[in-house]
Amino acid sequence: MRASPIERPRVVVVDDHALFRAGVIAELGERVEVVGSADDVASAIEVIRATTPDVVLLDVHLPGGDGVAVMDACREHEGVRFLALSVSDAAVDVIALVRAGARGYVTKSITAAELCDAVDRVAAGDAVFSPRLAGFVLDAFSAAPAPTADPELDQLTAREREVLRLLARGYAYKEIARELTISVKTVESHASAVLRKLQLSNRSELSRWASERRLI
Amino acid sequence: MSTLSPPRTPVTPGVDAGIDGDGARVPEPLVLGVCAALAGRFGASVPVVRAAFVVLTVAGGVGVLVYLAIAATWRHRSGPGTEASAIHDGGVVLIVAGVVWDLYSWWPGVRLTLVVPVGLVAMGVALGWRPSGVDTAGSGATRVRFGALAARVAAGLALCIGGFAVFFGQRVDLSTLRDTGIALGVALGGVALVLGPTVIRFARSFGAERDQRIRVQERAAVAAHLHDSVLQTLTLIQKRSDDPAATAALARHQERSLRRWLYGGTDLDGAALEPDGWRSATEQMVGEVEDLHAVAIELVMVGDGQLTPAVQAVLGAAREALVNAAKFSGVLHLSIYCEWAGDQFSVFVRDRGKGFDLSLIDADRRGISDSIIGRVRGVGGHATIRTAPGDGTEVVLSVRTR
Repeated sequence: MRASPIERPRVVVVDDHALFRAGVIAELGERVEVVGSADDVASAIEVIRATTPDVVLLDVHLPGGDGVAVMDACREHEGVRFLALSVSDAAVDVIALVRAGARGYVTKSITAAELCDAVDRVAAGDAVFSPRLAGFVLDAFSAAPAPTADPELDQLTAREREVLRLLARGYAYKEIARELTISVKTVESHASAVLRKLQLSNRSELSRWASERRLI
Repeated sequence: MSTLSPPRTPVTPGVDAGIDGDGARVPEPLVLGVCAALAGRFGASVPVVRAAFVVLTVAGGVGVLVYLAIAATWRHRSGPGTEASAIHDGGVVLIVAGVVWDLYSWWPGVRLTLVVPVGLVAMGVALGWRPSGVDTAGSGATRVRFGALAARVAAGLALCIGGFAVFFGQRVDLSTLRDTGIALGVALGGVALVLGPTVIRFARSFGAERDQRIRVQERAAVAAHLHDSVLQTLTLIQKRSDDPAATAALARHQERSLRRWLYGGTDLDGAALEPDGWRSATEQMVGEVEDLHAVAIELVMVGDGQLTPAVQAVLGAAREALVNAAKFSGVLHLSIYCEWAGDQFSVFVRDRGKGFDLSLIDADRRGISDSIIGRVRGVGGHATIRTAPGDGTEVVLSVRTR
């Protein structure tokens, strides 16, 4: 699953606000190769199928559906990875996109450098957690562990929890590695494991939490 | 008998015909739609079928009974809202037809003179019970179909009154007072049945519509207030476009209130979901620092707990830490992470600024030791500051609440 780092990831930007789309493309600049863009669900699916990019920057809400619909339609292209990019703080939106297969979630206030790093990371098959997404996950998995069918998937390990807390505190992967005296690769694998649990866990708290807790 | 007006006399042009969903012209039922349905089923002309029923009715009253029997058993297609209304009509008509049939066969004194008026009343009742456009939600539909409804009620009443007239015009032929009472009761019951459902339906639909309107108005009021404040902010931003710090502060302030309304903290009516909770208190504190010191603060909150005085003290210290970072770190982006783990409340305030040498703070940075460390220790908590020149600063505060 893990790909070697790609020199210059091929990227498709999907966002219905033309101004914002142009801004993102300008910010990404020379670090990536923007091979296409789209402003609604149908054109996004078309562009992604035609170009099979490494990374799709995907807005949560789109005319004609949402980001989840785009991901569902592009399931057969396994090499295409999705990074959710949204103004939305709604936990429901975040959890829905990540559970549908997005490799990460960043908000639109992200700086250009951070966005480029995030794209590189997703292109390499790693997970990208904004502090807010890390907080969401900690919250969703923090309820007292109920007797669950699959403890492997339904609970975080102590180490994963530590990594998530540092992510929520605003630490970069490199800083986390230094803090916990582990390698950056190990931090990345913990993050990917958490993402996998978030996607596959049937933990009832996840869905209930996401629908009930509309607080940030 | 020859003066008897047939039950299918056109009521108003408004209900004479309708357009179905496909745009094809389908005869609107005059009474229950039996003639139209029969005509459609066998490819005959609707007026011809209607004429046949008129003839059958006038010549002995069989037409009415056949008509009612068909109406009761056939789910006719007669325009909007057919299936449920057909069953409903069928049930009502079946009951009335049963009563009529009993009267006709078991009382020797009862003749066609009773069957016809009772039949008329039955038609009127069936018309009144027909679900009409009032049931469909939305005021547009109600207005559009009001004419049809009024026509139906009028037709039902006319039929009932016709039944009365025929009945009393021939009362000399009746042998017993009991029959008079029964027929009168049927007619009066018919009137009640005609008007009852319509009145109830009107009351219900108007109530539902009023509630809906109030909800829409409330949401519109909140949205209007928000739009006003967004417009004001945009105007201010244009006026002060030469002052980047003020512009950014205005935009941040507006963004925060819009987010609070969109994603949490408040319900759709703008009332805070948990106005006294620790999350609201933390959000408010962070918002104040953002506004006063023109920095962007990323706030992440995890877990649940009570806003005790100790937690408030920690939040006060966190505020000082944020203000310090805003003033001295040299960066415009700060992070604050608040977490409940069991009964322990922890706050991490972090910046990636220039940091400082902790050993030098005692002399000129009294603020840190007093307002941050002292405050937290005062409620039995812990405060640590991790920093080094060039390495940013992280203030870690925690307290146990039990």
